[in-house]
Amino acid sequence: MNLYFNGCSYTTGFELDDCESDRFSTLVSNHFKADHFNNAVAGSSNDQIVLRSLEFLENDSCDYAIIMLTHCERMTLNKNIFTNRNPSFYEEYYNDEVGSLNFYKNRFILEQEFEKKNIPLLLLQYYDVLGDNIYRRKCKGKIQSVARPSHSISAVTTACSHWYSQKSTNEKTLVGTRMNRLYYYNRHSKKTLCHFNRYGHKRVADYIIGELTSTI
Amino acid sequence: MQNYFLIGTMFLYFNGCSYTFGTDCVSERNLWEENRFSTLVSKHFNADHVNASVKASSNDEITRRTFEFLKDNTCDYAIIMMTHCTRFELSRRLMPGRSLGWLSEEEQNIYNYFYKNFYNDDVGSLNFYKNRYILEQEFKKRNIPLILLQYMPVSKNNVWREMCGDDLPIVVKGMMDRCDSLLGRRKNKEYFWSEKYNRTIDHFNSKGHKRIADYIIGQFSERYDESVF
Repeated sequence: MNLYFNGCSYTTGFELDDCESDRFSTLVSNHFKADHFNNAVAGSSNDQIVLRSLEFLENDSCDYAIIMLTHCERMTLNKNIFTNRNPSFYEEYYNDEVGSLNFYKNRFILEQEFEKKNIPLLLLQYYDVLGDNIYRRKCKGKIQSVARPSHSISAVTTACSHWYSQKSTNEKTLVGTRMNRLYYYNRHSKKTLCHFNRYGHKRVADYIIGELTSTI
Repeated sequence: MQNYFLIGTMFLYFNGCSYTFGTDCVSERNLWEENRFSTLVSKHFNADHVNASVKASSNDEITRRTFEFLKDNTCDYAIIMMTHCTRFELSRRLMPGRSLGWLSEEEQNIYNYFYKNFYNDDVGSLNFYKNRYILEQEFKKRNIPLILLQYMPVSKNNVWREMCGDDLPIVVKGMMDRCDSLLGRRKNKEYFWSEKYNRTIDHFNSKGHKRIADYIIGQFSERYDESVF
């Protein structure tokens, strides 16, 4: 069995002590004794995740695809746009609707493309993305969120803070609130990480294994 | 929501920007709707139609509007003219131009800053073909024949372009472009001359609309059995 993984730094296993062994793509593949390809790149936007997935599908195939969509406010124009590096972009050209439209447009494309190729696709999203738009309505229901934002993120930028500050309390996520001690603390460096730790990866892997077991 | 679909009558759906809207396409009675290509095509086939185009639209908006239409409606044929790849729908409806006229100086600077700092040809091309691709896929899935046109050539190859169908008919070409186009070069006297303003204008005139309409009618006749009309 061939598994295909894509996403951003959360899927690459960024900040893990042994990212190759401990990241969830390896754990899932080990569980199923499957081959896998982790096509994730740190810092990716959803635009890039979709593009890489389609490039992969042009010449390759897989038995199952697992893609973790990233923060909706990341966009790729002539460079990757991040809230902390490009504040002027978020001030002048971005709002919640822009992020939501782009997120669901990308998600819609992924769902269509994998369905067309008859490849089962398990989608996860790092955070839930609110907003009602035509692309969201065309997507296939709700997908699992990995984390919910911690309050500190709402200070990052006013342009994308609105939903984060409103929505974060009750949603069930795989690793809880971002940067919590259980899933974001690294015992060796004695620091709370920005990316979930090996227990977080194990938690995400268990979820994926559960989902795949019911369909494989 | 208006139900555009009239049972028993051929129904055409048009979408695009100001070129499809018919800006500057004035008739003798000063009504732009009479001479724009959507009306001419519909009249030729004795069909009903909706022209959902909006001035200054980007391809993001054209695609989104089309999806919104398809959610609650259908049509027998769709004709969509895609616009300049440089336009974007972000929190502002962005389009390039040193002095767009209707913007304040401050707003103009914000527009210019975007194109200077966040845009290049690859960005425009990726966005153009991404929108084109999802339009093609959606109409294909719904089994609705789609005639796509693009206003100007879009250079730069990418995976979206490779996934799209054949090259589209180009409406106008720039000074340096070598491709064929329906109306020749941009702002030529034949198709861009305005009797009203006594000068060449940004949008093709009623003769241009007639030329586009004839092309679309020809495409229908070529691709589909005209007896269905």
